[in-house]
Amino acid sequence: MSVLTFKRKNTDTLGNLVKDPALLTSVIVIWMFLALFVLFPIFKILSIAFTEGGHFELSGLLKILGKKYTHIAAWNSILLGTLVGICGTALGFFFAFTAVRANLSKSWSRLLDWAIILPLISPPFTMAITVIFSFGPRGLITYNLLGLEHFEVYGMWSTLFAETITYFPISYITLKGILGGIDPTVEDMAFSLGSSRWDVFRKVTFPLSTSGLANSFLLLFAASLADFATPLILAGNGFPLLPTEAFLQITGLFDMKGGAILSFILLIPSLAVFFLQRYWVGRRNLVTITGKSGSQTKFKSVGNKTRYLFLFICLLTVLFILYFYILLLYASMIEAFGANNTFTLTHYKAIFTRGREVIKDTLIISISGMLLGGLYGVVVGYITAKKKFFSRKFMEIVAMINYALPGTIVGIAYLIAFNKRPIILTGTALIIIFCNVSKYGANGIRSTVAILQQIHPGIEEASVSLGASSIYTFRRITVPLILPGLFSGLGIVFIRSMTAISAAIFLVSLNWNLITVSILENMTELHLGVSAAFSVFVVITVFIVITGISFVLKSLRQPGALRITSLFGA
Amino acid sequence: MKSVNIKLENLTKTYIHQLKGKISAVNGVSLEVEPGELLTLLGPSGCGKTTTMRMLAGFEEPDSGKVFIGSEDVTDQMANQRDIGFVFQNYALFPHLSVAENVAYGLKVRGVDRNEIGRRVDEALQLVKLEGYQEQFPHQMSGGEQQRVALARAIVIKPKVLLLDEPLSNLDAKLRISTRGEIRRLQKALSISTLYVTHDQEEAMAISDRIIVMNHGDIIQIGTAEELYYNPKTEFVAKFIGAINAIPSKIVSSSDEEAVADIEGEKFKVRNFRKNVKPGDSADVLLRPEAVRLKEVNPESKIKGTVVERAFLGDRVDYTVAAESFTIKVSLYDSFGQVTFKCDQEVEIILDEKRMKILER
Repeated sequence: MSVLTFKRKNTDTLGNLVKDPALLTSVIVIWMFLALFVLFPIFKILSIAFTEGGHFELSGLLKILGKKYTHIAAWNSILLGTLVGICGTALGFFFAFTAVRANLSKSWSRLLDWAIILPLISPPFTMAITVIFSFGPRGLITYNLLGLEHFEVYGMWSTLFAETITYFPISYITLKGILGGIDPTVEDMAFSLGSSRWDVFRKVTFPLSTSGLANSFLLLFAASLADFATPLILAGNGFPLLPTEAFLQITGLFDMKGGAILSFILLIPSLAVFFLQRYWVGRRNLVTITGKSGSQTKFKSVGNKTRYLFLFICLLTVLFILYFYILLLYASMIEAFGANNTFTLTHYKAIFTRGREVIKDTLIISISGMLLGGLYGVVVGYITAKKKFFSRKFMEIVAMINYALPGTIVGIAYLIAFNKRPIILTGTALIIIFCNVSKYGANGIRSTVAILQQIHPGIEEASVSLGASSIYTFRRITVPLILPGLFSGLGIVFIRSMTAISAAIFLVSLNWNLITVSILENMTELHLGVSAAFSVFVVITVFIVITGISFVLKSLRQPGALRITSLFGA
Repeated sequence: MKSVNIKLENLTKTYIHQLKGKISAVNGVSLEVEPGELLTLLGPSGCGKTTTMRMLAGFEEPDSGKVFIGSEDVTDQMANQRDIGFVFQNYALFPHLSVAENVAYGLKVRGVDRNEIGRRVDEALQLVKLEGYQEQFPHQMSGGEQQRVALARAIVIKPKVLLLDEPLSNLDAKLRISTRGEIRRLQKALSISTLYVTHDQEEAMAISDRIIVMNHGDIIQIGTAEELYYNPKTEFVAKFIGAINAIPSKIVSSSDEEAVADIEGEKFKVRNFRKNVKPGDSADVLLRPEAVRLKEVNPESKIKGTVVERAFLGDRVDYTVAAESFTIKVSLYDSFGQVTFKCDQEVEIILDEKRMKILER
């Protein structure tokens, strides 16, 4: 019967909306939000790209499409995305395999988890800054250690390196879930049939994780395609990329149309990857999580020697990551990196005096975005996963659009959409908050849906059968069970509001500025110490908030309640 | 509270399956549960029994047809307005609530006053023999205990209708038997009109006042356990209720109610319920394993076979015997007094002519 009852979702009718006024109200409110903050900006960016003086006109698009520079930028973006996808997935698989298969002790795997989380919670160009500190013309490694003068750090390789280190944790989390989901008895079975360790890996473990690898590749490809901060600092003039070109078109040349067209070109591969990930890879997951924890067998797929080798390589990478962060801390506490190494706290003084307003703005925007975005994620996740109503499928897709689009596009779209009547939001905090909610709130939708999938539908039906209304059921049964999803959603919106730049850079103003944008400004003005101090501040704040949320999540774990394994659970 | 009857009229439900297209899960099912009766829907998985029950509960909307509880037409009511108690296959206990809170849930929804809630929760837990478990959480309990909490939660609200969807399928064999006894005792004591869904024929026979056998979304037969066992209408029912042998035969002659069937050269006069049976046709003659006897072979033996399997089950011994043109299952009771047979032993097979029948397929 399970197959049949599962299909109940197919009956999305208008009738359900009429019967349930609470649902009707939520659906209307959500659609108003989505129409205003997702569809309208996208519509505006497309209409600017495709019209000229109110008429449909392709000449502007064709002109930019015909430019050689555009071809190079598009090609570079795709090349970089592919390389980051491959390198990051390889590194992520290596880490995930070690974490899941090498029988690590609890403290070791916790260390791995925490070190890997660092790049995820840092401002996106932290890695770029530290790469320059290490390998730049005055870099610690290139200049001080190796004595190389005028080392050219800018270009594809450094960008690839920084992005790989920044994004491989996404791959790690995805693949850890997949590898951890493979029942060890399946491998035991292969051993019992006479396979060697290598055979088991080649013929069982690896084939079972291919969908996870494809998924990871697509996620990293999309992340790299969307990354704006790293190439802005590291790519240099010789390696133009689409998001940075769109940014320079708008801020440098004040050419809104050109920026819109460039970001439209970026939109195509982004959406392609999004739908590929969603409808192809997402459905080909071979690993089923049954929830049975009967088999207590140990993993035997890694021999002792291999185990130590893997651990050694992982540790080396972890140390490398830690080195970058220590370097960041160091740079924030000396006069001038590469020139004057005397200890000082002036940079911190600067960010807490001159930078106080920026910190205040950032915290206000992040906290309000967090509250709104957390609520948004849970409500949208709940009604799209659990309710049957007309337009449900469409809502599910629209709610994911801003999440899937590179921040540059969303930022430009908002800039174009909200600086003229009927809705003028430019210069306000609201424009940044709504942007963050519509873009990062989607994480909350995903974690809520993931949790809801673990809750058997019978539990809610049981409540209804006992006479409870749908609101009462939601309040007394569903909410307590999906609280972990809410908190993880809150956490992500906060972290991203604190760290993201690609969309926000178009939306900041004299009244409302953000730390990430200040870091970039200070970088370009060569106030590296201040940039470093700001970065350290962000990393520490986010770290505190994450720890707080993890603590809340732990204490919320009422008996039998469902767990959310990772704040960044893919 | 006075028991009410439940009536389903011509319920139909189709689903769209991604691969198979339109599937008709329930085709115009009509049935009536008498006041205080326990009626069971029995059938293989996918036969439409759960869908039928879910339409009665209000979890599924029928494509057509009507649902009555008492004299009230509840077809358009939501599940929470129908005053039902539902016990789910996986219990669906609220994992974040204690046993007492789980049981109290429906009473709170109904705005029952707090002291009254406490009293009724204790009473319900007493009924299912879980006194003292109030503060426990579901995950701290065994499957059988969780099952009883689910039952207490369903009956504490004194529903007009009790619906049980395969409530025993997650329990081990012994617990299944004792729990079904408890369910039956409670249901009788409270005299609640009850619909019970299961795919286990033994469970259905043990617990029900009447049983409905379903297949492919249709009702095949309604009756008491005895009626279904002794007078099945079709081969499907005969095979689904209890074990039965289908012995291949050739029809020699036939009339409306009787046929002469040839089994390995022996002629048997059997009751015939199949239409259009003509001499020369092949037909399976149905016979329960306990209607077959075995004897040591002797020169007069007619149908002979060899024992290929033997299982000693305490109260009886089950044999599988291979004759020349068929294999037959035989159950011999009273193992104390009986001669027993060994594997590979040649035996005479004695078929009870009076209990043989040919049914519609």
